[in-house]
Amino acid sequence: MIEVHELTKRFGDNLAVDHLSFTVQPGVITGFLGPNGAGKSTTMRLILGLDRPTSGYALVNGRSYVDSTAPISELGALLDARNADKARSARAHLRALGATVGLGAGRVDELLEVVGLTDVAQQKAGSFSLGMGQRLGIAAALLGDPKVVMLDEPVNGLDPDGILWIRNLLKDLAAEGRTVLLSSHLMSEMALTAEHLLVIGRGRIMADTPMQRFIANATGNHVHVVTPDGAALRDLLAAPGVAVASDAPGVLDVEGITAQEIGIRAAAAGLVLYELTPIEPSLEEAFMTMTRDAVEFHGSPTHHRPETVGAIGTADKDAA
Amino acid sequence: MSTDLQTPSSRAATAEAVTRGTGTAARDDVSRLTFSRVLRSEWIKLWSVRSTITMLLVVVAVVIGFGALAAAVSTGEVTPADGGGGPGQFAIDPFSLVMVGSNFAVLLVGTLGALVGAREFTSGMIRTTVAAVPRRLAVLAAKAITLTVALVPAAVVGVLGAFVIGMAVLSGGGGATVTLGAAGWAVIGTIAYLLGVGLLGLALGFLFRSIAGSISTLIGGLLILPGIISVLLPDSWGEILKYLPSNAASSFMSITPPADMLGVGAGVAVFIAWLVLALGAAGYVFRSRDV
Repeated sequence: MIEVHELTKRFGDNLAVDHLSFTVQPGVITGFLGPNGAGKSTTMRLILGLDRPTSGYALVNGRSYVDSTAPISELGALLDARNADKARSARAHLRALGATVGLGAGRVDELLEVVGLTDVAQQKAGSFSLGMGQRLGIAAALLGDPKVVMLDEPVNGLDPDGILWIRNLLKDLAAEGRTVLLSSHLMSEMALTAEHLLVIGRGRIMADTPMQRFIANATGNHVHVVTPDGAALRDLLAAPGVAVASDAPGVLDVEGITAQEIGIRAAAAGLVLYELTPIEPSLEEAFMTMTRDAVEFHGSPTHHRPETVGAIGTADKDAA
Repeated sequence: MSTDLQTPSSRAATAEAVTRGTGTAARDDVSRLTFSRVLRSEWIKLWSVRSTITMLLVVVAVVIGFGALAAAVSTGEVTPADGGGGPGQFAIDPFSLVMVGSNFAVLLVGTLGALVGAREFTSGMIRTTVAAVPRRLAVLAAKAITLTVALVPAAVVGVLGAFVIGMAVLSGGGGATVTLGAAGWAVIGTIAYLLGVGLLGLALGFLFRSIAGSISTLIGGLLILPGIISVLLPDSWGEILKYLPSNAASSFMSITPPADMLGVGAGVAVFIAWLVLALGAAGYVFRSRDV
């Protein structure tokens, strides 16, 4: 488990991480999302003790990571696959890392096999392609059989086979009851892998929610309906809170009411439906909408507020 | 997307390999992080880059080779390009003559130290290292100890080899020699200076986090600064010269300390003070800065 409490990191004038608090639970894969510069990597470095927090703290399995008795067995991290000396072989790199907790050549060779680097184990890390470097970084992260795994953009540079491999690997690790925190800018990959989401923007938490709820709550949820009686259905569904858009006769996109409810009402009114399809936004759309709003809100609150006030004013007028 | 290309059999095989490799079996083999394990880790790192053994071998070759050559030139066995050579060519004592290679070796051991200190910062490896060993001073200490263990044998072989071979050449050519008994402390002093410069390079590597920056600072401080100060600054500043690391060390690297330098005891103390200052600053900066 990773617990982050009011974690703050300031670089000069830039507040990279701003009173961040969250908990990463064991047993599920938690996706860490945010636009570039949102503070994901800084947060991971703070958890590892590579950066000193300006204030606040992070706990790994109940204590500060720097106090771990066997650090790489407590938390295995992949921050950047290039964090290895170019002149050293993959095998020697892992041997040096494993030696800190008394792990020997046997365990290193086992991991090289798992990530598929056995044949190039004696080659210098500097000669590796991005994907091979990534595999070495993943091997380093898993070497100590850690209870918590934290990977920053692990699929970077991996081929399709490697992407599938890492996805299954992370699912297995979570199923074994480990804590898995994963950042990726590949939304489709994140949607397939993560069950829980942490979204940050400008160093602050914007969402800490199960993946399904994140998508379900996102704007853009609607029901796509095709019917020969478009006008009749539109009248039937008209109600406060329900918005009906139509691009073509007989094709309606309905917001604010479930597909089930539309079907029930249409049947009661004897209307024929050709199509009745709930449409969920993709994770990408949900994420873009949320972070765009956040950026606007943080960037120019004075522009945002009058709109809100105006909307409330309109509502009042309607009520009156 | 790409996942559709995968056959079920390859999926199963991947999952099986993963379970086998990361199952809880490995956890039983994991031991506590201790300083001796940090030493072991740094020892593996030191010897798994080729530059370490290369530089140490070059140190030995340079100290012995230049010593033997200087001895041969001074006895007239070898005539240098400018046509000089022969007895009286070098107005220095036999010990300093055969140790002439140590001046060059200083660059090599300093560079090796700077490499050990700065390499991980330039490659990003330091983040992997600090994540594995969050007690940062233990990392610095382990690097200093493993570098010492690697440097001392090379310095001993080089300096003793240069002494024995150089004196043999001198005596064969009828030149003046000194015995190891007479030169004992100067031999140890020269070995210690080479080690000390390596550790200074290590400390500068941690301070500057750049290989080029730490090497140029080391060479500037040891070899160039004394010359600049003596030429550019007023005579009254001459006292400062004695306290520069290389000049302080010159007091314990020869059989009779140079007349215008510190005494042996003061030289040793000043040189150690430089080492403590550099390593202390390196430790302070490494501990307090983000990596």
